[in-house]
Amino acid sequence: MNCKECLPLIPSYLDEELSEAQAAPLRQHLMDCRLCRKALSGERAFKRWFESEPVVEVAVPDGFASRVARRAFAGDTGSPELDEVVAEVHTTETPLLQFVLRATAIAAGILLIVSAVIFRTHIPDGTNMKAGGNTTLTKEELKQQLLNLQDPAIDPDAPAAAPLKDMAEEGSEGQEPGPKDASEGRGE
Amino acid sequence: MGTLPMNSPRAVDTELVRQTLAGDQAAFEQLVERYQGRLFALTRNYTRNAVEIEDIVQDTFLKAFRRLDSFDHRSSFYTWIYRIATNTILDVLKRRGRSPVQTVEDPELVGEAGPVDMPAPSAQLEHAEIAEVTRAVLDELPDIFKSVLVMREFHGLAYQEIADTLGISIGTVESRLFRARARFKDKLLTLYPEYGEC
Repeated sequence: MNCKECLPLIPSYLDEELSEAQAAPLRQHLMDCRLCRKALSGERAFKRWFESEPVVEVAVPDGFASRVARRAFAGDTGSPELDEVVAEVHTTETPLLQFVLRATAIAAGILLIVSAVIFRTHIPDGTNMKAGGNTTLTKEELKQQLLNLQDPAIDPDAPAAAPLKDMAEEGSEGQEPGPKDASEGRGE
Repeated sequence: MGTLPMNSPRAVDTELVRQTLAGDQAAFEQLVERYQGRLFALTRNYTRNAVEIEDIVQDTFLKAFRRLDSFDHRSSFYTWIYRIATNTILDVLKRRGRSPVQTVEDPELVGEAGPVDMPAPSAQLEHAEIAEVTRAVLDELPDIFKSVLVMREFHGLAYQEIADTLGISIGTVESRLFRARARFKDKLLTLYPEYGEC
C-alpha cells in the first residue's frame, strides 16, 4: 500500500469501518510512513472535538407525551402546515422535470395516434396482395392465362431472357441525355 | 393496561408497541415518554428554536404512530424512530431553505476538500467549552454535512445505519463524511483561529 491508497482509508479505519483485509495493509503502511501517521493523528484530533459533547439536557414541555398520544389517537397526522409545505416542496422543487414528463407523455400520445393512422391508411389490403383469385388452377388453365398475357410479338418458344434483352436495348436507345449531353446543350 | 415484562428495554418497547397497536393510548404515551428526551436532544443538534424543536419531535411521534404497524422489530424502536426523526428534521430544515442540498452536493461548487491540519482541543479547555465550540462550528455547516457528523460522531452510527437513515449509499456516506470533516476543520480554524495554535 502507498500513501495515495492509505490516506482516503484513514477516516474509515478510525471509524472501524474497514474489513481486516483492508485494515492490515493499512496498519503496515502506517508503521512505515511518518506522513500517513501524521494524517492519522490529525483525524484522531478531529474526533476529540466530538468526544467532549456532553449529554444535552433539553427541557421537554410538561404534558408533552400525553398531548402527543391524545393527538395521535384522535387521528392527528401531524402539523398540517408542515404537510402543506412538504407538498409545496415536492411540487415546486422539480417544475422542469414535471414539464418534461408531461411534454413527453403528450408527445408519446400524439405519436401513437399518428402511427395508428399511418398503419390503417398505408398498409396494403390483404386481398390486393393475392396473385389471383383462384389458386387451384389446372395446368391447362395456367398455360392459357400465360398465353393471354404473352406479347404477340414475342415468340413463345424463345428463351425467357430474350424479351428482357430487347427491353434493355430499347431502353438504351430511348435514354435521356446524360450530364455530358446536358452540358453540351448548355454550351450551345 | 397489562403488566409489562420487566426485562430488556427492547422487550418493553415491543410490548408497548403491541399494546399501542391494540388501541392502548397509555402505552403509546409511555413510548413517547421513553424517547422524548433523546429526540429533543437529537433535534437540538439542528436547531435551537424551542418551538421548532417541539414541533419536529411531535411530528416525529405522530408519523411513528401512523406507521407503527410497519415497525417489524428487526431494529430497536429507537433506531426506527431515530430514522423518522432525522428525516423529519431534514425535511423541515430543507423546506425552510436552510440547506440547499443539491447545491451543496455539487462537486463543482464544493470543491475538493484538501487536507487540513487539525488541531486537537487543548488540554486546558474545559469540556463545556469544547462542546460549545463544536456546537458553534456545527451550526455553521449545511445540514447535509451536519447530519452525517451528528450521526457518526455523536451517536456512533455505523456507515450502513447512516445510509439506511438517509436513504443513500455507503459510498455517499463516506464521501459526505469526508467533506463534512473537511468543512468542520476549515470552519473551526476560521471561527476560532486561536485553536490553530494548539
